[in-house]
Amino acid sequence: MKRALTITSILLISILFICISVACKKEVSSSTQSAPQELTIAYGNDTDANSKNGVGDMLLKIFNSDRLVELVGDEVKPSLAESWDLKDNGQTIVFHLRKDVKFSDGTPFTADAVKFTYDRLKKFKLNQWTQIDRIASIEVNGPNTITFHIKPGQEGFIVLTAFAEYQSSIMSPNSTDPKGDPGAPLANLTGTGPWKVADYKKNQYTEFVPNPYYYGKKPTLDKVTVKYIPQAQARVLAIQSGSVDAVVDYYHGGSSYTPRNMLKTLQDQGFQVLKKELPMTVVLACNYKKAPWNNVEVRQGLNYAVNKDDVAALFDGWLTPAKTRMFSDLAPFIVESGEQEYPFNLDQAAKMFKEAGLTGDTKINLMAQGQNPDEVKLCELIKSQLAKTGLNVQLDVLESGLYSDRQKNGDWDLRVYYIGGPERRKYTRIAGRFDPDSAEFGPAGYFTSPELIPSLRKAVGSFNQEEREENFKVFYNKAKDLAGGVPLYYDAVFVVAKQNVKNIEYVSTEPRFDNVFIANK
Amino acid sequence: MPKTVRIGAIIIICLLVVACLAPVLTPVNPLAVNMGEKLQGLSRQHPMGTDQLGRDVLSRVLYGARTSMAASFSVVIICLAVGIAIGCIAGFYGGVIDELLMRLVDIMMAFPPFILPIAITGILGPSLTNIIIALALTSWVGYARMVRSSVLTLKHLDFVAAAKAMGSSRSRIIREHIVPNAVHPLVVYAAFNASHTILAISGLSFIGLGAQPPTPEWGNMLSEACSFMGSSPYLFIFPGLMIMLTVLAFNLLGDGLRDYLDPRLGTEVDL
Repeated sequence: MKRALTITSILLISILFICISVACKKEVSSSTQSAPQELTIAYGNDTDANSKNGVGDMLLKIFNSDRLVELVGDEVKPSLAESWDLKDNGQTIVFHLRKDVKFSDGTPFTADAVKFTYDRLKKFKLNQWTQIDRIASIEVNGPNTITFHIKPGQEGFIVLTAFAEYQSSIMSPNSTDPKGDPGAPLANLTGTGPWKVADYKKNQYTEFVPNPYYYGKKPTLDKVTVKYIPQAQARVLAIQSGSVDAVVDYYHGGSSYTPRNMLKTLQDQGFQVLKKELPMTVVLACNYKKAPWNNVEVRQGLNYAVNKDDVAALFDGWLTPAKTRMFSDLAPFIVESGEQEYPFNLDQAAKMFKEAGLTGDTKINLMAQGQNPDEVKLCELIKSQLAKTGLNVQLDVLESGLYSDRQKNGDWDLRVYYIGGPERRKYTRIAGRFDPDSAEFGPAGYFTSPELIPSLRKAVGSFNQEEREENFKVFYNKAKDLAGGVPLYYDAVFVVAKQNVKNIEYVSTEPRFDNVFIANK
Repeated sequence: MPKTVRIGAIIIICLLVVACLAPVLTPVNPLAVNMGEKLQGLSRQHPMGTDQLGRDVLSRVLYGARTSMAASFSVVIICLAVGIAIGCIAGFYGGVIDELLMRLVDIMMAFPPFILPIAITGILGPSLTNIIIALALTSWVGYARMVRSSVLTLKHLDFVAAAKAMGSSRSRIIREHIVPNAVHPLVVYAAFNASHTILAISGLSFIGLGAQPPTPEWGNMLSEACSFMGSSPYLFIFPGLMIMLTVLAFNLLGDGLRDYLDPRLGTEVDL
């Protein structure tokens, strides 16, 4: 009896011990699994989440908002609008909205929110060039239907693509203080996107946490902190010192990026470097309205004079020289011909300049923006290349105000500029750079000619994809022949991240962190 | 003569020779771009390596001496001229003229030393010429104050009274009796000012307000080297060393001259 009791006690104690061990093990493993997964990103712009008269930065809009439609390749796809009807040849667009969507504060997404968003854009003249100037009126037809009336002559496919613009991201009327007033300051920008803003300190950081009401797949991370670090070198130091997990270029491209000549060093130090080419080309623009740049042969000579391989070498080969076509793969219906448009040929350039009467005494200035060291270096290189053709170019490194004044006054010959933009902006931006009737062209035009206009307008305006494709081909060919400027290289958006940051993806040209997880942390 | 003066003077003379003979000393054009030789380390062909555009760093450093020394001397000469003129007028004539000029000096001295040059180049645009103007506009006041205080003492001395008694005109007294005796302390001040000016020009060029690309200048060379501190440190080491050496030379010269010329500090202090 005594022995049986002893055995039973030992058994019971053993079972108890095993149970406790298993429970403890489970607790430990569950606590390991639930350790918060957080990512810290360095970004060169403030997200502007609580702005007085804005709607937030591009990164913010991608993180926490959606648009009515998305531009995917050369097609407009549903997003918050599940379908749309085009009436009167596109002069009326009726959007039918999703019914299963909620904002990150739990309130339902309705047509009133769309109207509120566009009222705010109109109030503060945001997105004006690309969209607002084209809209005559907006009509809410019910909780899930909204109609946009387009101004006569402004209708077309390009208008539809503009609904995919960053600033066309839909926000809740609860975003402002007081709520529902589109003219009031943003207090808590509330969208329908995968993330919501949990905390924001102007010019310091923005904290994103998953939006509990998101209709799509929930983000995997528990928190993403976007640190605003304006100086490029400081961003690089931040990732090298381990205080951030990733450094992200400005979503728009063209500025606030990781210095290209640091990318190789960072890669050698074990960081992953991710690249996505934009349908944006950095160009050498010339003041085509005045002599000698109004002469197509001089512009063509300029194209022959610039060695684009040297230009790419300036950026350690991280950017592709624009040798065979004006834009990279993501531009609408661009075709790789494989042939160089204007192969580097100094003799040909010198001959064309000479025939046009240009000599070493011809006064030519090349403007560069002093705050952009890469642009200054690029201009130094171009100056030296043009010197080999006998042209004596004066390099004027200017601060932004002076640069802008000289540009407005037409007091310049050559400058570095860009055409195109991020993918969702590619149609509106091409029109804005080449079509003098587009609102954007006045302050931001690149080159135009009556020969370009018919094909360009059909290319961006037609709802028929085949017609768009056909006309884009004509447009690209004409633009090549007219040589408005010199395409130099295709810009790109880079992400530099620690090796343990897994699953960074690009959706169109934008880095996304929705499926990111941190390994071995 | 203290050793410091001799060492300082020798370095400065060497730098001046280098600056003047830069085209002879360097066979390579400092502006010649060669992307094929981009960021090459130290070699026999390029003893100080090449920069981001494949330009020879040695040539740029030597030509940079030209730019920096010329700019620094220009500022000092302008300041000497203006400072002596204003200091003499204020000190010798006194009264309302002195009052007005010294208040002007007070106003100029109230500006933080770097803010005014930055504001001036902001208005006139960034260039080496504008930096020289901006620095001269802010630096002359020290010279003027120093000369004025010397003149206040000198004008009551016997040799000035004697010159007056002999019927010398005021301008002649200033020119022949006051100025030659007032410049001794200025020499020391000018040596220190030259070193400060070198630093100021380099600093302003570093932030993009001074010499404009592609002109080689030590400050803008340092600025260009920022992106390559890890991969190509020679890009900032050589221009940095040149700035340090030049500033050191002027400081040694100024220190030595002060010891030599100021009887209260004990002359002939040989270090």
